[in-house]
Amino acid sequence: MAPIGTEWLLFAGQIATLIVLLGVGHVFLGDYMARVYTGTKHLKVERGFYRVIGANGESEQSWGAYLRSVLAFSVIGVLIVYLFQRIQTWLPWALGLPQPSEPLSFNTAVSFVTNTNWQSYSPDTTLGYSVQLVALAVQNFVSAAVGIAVAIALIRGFMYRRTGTIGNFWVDLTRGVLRILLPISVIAAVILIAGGVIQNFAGFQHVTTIAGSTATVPGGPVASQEAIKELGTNGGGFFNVNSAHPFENPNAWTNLFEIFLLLLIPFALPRTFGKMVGDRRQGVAIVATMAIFWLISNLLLAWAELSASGTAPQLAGGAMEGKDDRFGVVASTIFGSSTTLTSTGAVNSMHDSYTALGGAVTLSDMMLGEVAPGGVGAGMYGILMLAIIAVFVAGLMVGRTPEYLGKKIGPREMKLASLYILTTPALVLLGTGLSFAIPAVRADLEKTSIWNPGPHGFSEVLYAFTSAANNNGSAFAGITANTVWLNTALGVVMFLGRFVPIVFVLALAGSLAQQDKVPATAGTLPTHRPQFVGLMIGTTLLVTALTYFPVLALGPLAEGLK
Amino acid sequence: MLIISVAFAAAHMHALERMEFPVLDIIYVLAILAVAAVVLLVAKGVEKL
Repeated sequence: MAPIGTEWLLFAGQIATLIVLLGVGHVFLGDYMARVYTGTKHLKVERGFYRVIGANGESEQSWGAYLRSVLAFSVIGVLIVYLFQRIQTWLPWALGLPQPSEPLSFNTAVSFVTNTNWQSYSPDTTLGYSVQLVALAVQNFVSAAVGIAVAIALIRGFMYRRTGTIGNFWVDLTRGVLRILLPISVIAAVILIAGGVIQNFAGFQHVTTIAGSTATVPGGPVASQEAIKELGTNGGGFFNVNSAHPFENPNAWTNLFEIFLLLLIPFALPRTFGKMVGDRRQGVAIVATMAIFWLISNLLLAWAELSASGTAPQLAGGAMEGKDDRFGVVASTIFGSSTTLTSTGAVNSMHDSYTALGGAVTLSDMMLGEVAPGGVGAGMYGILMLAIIAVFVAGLMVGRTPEYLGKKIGPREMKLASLYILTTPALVLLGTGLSFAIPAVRADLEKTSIWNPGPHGFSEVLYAFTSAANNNGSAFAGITANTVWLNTALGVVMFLGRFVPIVFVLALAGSLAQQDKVPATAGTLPTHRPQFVGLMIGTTLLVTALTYFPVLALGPLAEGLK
Repeated sequence: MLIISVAFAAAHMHALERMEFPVLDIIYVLAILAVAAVVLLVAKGVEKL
């Protein structure tokens, strides 16, 4: 470990590098995505795909039709991933591994289709290459594309006038995969291979060590998974320890590159938003809100881990338990903040070993609702929902009808935004509460799943449900989640946490698209100024604090104050 | 209600663990369809807002 002063310098250097890379990258990608989703021409391969699935690429859908397409596509995805796992034994490249159990297959299928990538299992010793590539990697692409598609549909709600349609899901999905995710993933995979990430079909190799014992060295097509794992804010690792594994994340610069990848699309989408609604300043306000949360979280987490109390952390110069010496404290905390704020869930350090307050930061990152900058697409539509609530609150304060980008925010719009905000906390609190309220479940949790008694054990379960409901996927490593209860309950929570909010987002998009635009007047709240950024930050913090403070007090805060 | 149902099912998890192929597979496939039906019901409710 470097001295504390050097660690803070490293922190500043890495944050500055990321800001420069993202500052340039989000402009190019944001503008490109706007062109992709507003273009009228279809590629030849896209037209062929529409013909195969029987979709009409030229027609637009109502919000109901768009939702049914999203849901049908996703349910079929869950069933296919479930089936692939259950027949793993008979698939090629199964590596001699048996099929996962039914509850685990259910959990994994829902997890990858909902872009959560929660893993109740050790991937390298549970799933063969066929399942990893044909089932899971495919979902890494399409689940990310679904998220972007829903965000674009909501943006169209603000763009369109009196149409009642919000685009075509099949066109958005196809373009997202073929024109955005695939090309960037190929380039990113090659860069990762250059950095030392493995890409082979070698299976397990048994080697004799210098000491004379035998070690098993895993192989696998890792780089291709790693690229989309980060780019699509999926997070499901090829290996059990995820990006802490040297074959997934070999050194400091691949670590920084992976953080850049997972932040790229979420920070680029506000630019896309600004361009599509015809006012780039609106996108700047959104991206500024996201960036402020990201910076604050990074500062808090680095401070919590660098200033940890206790003899061992003081001697080591920071809380090093659960962190890889290759990365040290700050490269771990920057990854930790970025992954919990983007719904990625990949980890390069074990969040369970963070200090109590550090754990509270990662939990709070997710509890913000994954909006800073959030998952691909999900972050964008999440923060637009918060923007609507902020506009409404401001409207109440000055006594005017709230408007956002020329669209009136009436009772229907507010009901939808409120239901959106309430859904995830309800799932987190219900899931955690039921886990402890049902005697048989609680007994099983305490006997099998929770490794640490007291507030920390409570935090482990709270973290699991927070991660699942927000479609994050990261875990406090101390919990054993491969049980019937956790696999089933977390699976249900992941599914509802993904698709129920999407219902409200698409309904809102449909409602906005039906409206005409009202011209801005002297009484219209400017939504591109720092004042509105402050209002959005305040709204987000208030909603989060009021919802989660009691449960945080029972877990990490109680542990930190002990 | 669905979560509560799942909770009660999990309370009898040892009974679930004893079930043999393909009973549990059928249960989980039905669970997938049931959760999707809940989302559609929510959408139906939203139309009436």
